Amino acid sequence: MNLDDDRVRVLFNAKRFMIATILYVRGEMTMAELQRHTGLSWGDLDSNLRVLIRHGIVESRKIVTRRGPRTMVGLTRSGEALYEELTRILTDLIGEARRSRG
Amino acid sequence: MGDDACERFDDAGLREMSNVADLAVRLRRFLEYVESTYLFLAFMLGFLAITHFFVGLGEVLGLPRETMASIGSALGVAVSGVVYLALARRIFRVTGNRYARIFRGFRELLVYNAIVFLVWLAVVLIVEVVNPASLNLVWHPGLATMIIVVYLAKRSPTLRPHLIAALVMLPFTPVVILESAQELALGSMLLAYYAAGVYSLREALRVFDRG
Repeated sequence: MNLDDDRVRVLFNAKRFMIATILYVRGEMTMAELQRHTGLSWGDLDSNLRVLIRHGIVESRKIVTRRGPRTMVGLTRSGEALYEELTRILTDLIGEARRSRG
Repeated sequence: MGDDACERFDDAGLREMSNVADLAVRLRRFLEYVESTYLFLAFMLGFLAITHFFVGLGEVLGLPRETMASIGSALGVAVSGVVYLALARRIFRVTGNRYARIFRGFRELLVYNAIVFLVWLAVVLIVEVVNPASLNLVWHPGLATMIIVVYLAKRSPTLRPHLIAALVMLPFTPVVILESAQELALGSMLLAYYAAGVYSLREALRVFDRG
């Protein structure tokens, strides 16, 4: 996996990276919780989540709670692996840049 | 610009992204180790509290100590397990694919469990020097061996505290089986869980110190 990989490139977007980071650390959550954590507008959150879902990084499911139906979103297993891989790629990239600058 | 478009980050932006991702990975490891600490220590305390409560209740009501200890132990395992899962869902957000993964793991665990216990049962039955009363203590080597088998199969760093628990238990196995030492079997398991809990906490604290 490298920077040219489609799924890696999808995460090279500040909003999607923020969504993935929050889901990676905190695990699955409702759309409302994610919206509160990210501070994104509903439209922004929805469109970026759609991209992440289309690439198999995020999955969503409907649940019924006492307060009514909710949509839960979380990283898929491969989404979690991708996030860890991205961290490794970025660390290598920064290391290489440092070395090339001497 | 399409929905899928990626942004161009300058050097500073990439460094910042890398720092955030690195912090997120460490934070996740930290939470996993804290969860593991909680699993071992909460299980140990729950198990002890319920077992002792039943033994004490048995003394007051004049019921056989062995029976009450067995009921208490079984309930202790069940209640601690249920409380762990309930709290893990709320505190550590073990839901969705993480929850499913744990249950998939649990199913695999049952298979390993059955195989390992059958092997140990066969060993205890074949080796005739073993006291027949030890048959109900086969869970002790069975549990320790199963953890080691699972660790060797998965090689996941988050299973290391479990490996510590198994390694603490195993040296006691010969005495437990040969002497049918029920109390030592339970005591060594609790000691092992305590050691694993402390190890997990130590690993959690070290997550942010590593380069």
